[in-house]
Amino acid sequence: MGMNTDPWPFIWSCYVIGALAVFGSLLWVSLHRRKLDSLMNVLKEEK
Amino acid sequence: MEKTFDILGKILCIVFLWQAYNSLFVQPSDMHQGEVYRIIYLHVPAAFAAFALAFVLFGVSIYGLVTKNLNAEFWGRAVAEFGFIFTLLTLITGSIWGRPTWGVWWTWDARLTTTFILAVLYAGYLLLWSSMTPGMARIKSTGILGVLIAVDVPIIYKSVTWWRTLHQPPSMMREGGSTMAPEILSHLIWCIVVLSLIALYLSWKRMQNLRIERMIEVKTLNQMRA
Repeated sequence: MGMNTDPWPFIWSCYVIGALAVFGSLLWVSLHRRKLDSLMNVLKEEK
Repeated sequence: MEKTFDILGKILCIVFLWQAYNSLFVQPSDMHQGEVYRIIYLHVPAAFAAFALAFVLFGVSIYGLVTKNLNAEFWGRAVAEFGFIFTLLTLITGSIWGRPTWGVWWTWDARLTTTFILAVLYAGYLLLWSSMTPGMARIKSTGILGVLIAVDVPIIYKSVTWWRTLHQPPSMMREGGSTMAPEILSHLIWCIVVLSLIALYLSWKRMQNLRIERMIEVKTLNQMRA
């Protein structure tokens, strides 16, 4: 690595992307589950 | 049981944050690479998670082909989605690490190329799954592809010993023991375990969503027919 290259922007960008991948996925599956549960409740009520 | 797994999964995500803090601020610098080596605490666990999911996909595919159980479809899709995400994470973090270390964002060396192939295979699995209607034909087709995807994983692992590559050879699991300092190795192993478990947890949650989605589709169709 070049002596003048600051490694921290590279390091931080990796960890931000990693956190987005993990917590973004968790948020996605959780929100999707909530939507599916409310749809299921609507179907049960209609029955 | 479901609630317990859910809580454990969320605890794992918090442990991931603590490990990230540890990786960034507590772990010592590397003698050769300095600070930039800290990326391996994310890059290597992401790779292991992607490989672990490939083996889960292998097992799920065999299960679906043998038992013809429709649940294999949901597991297959869920595992392939997160296998793709973690393979992309591996490639992106590896590329970001490669720029300051090797001077390039990308090179077609054996390790990088075979990992890229893994990402393409996962994407192909998802496209195949989406293009077919639910049922036995989809279980068979995706099952065969799921078995083939797992073949790429040992090729990725051995690529650095079979071919001359820019990517470094194994430093963890190698003859004569690891070349890594004990404190770095132990933290790396814990990061691998936690991220792999998170990948399985996310796949499990996604599988449940896919199953409920199908139930809603079936119920809606039945209500329309009634």
